[in-house]
Amino acid sequence: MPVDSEFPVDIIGLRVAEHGPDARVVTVTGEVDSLTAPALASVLQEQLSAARVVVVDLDGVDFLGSAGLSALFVCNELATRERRVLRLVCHSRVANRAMEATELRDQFTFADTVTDALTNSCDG
Amino acid sequence: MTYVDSDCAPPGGAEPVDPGREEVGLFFELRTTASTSAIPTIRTVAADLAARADFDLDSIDDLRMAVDDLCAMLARIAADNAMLSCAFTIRPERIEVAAEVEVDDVQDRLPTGSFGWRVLECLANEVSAVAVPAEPGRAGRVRVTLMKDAGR
Repeated sequence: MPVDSEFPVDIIGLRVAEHGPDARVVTVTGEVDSLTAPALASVLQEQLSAARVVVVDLDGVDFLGSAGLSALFVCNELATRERRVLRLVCHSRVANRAMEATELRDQFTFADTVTDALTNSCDG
Repeated sequence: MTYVDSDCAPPGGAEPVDPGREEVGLFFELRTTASTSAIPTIRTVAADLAARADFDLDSIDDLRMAVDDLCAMLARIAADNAMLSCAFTIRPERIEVAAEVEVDDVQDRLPTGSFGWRVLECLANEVSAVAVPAEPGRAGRVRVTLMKDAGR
């Protein structure tokens, strides 16, 4: 992704897996900050336009900054507006702390595991 | 560069520091290109200082995130080729951060209405921003200061 120098600091992993025609799991690893949040937002927007259920697995996130929170928040709003389901799976201590400290945790829907997230989503 | 507490206080804001209670602090200053590429290193230094100052885990995370947030907000408004300065003063039980950047025009540059600013207010124990108008030979600057306790 473009950064304003050659210094390679944008450390993020984004992997998308299809689970049937209507569900996707986006696995996020590494650091979600102002450099990498646009990539996360664009992947989530893309998946939300392609599938009804998008699960975001944040277990491997080492840093979640306000830009990352903002990207998740905006995509969550988009999902609500478009009648899609965005569900987070998050056992990353730093990511959970970020959502807790900024009082944004209640904005999101969580599942304990990716399997749970996909199962529960099929019910709703 | 010297940071004076009273200079950073918002109008009618923070209480003046009692000179008798001012502890000697360890001082660090990072001076970088005002680029988002520098921020991962700056926030890592912040977290390292907090860990060495025996902050609890949540407070280390909060400071790392607050410093990331405030540097990103300053990098966004920086003038072309500006430098970003981020200074840490480590005191018993708290760390003070003062970051500033040169801007083209200080008018309407304070980032206090943004999402990032609201996040900053949640993460830090105290936070304030001031615009320093240009002087002859020196560009205008925006300075954000925050204070973080070792544990809540």
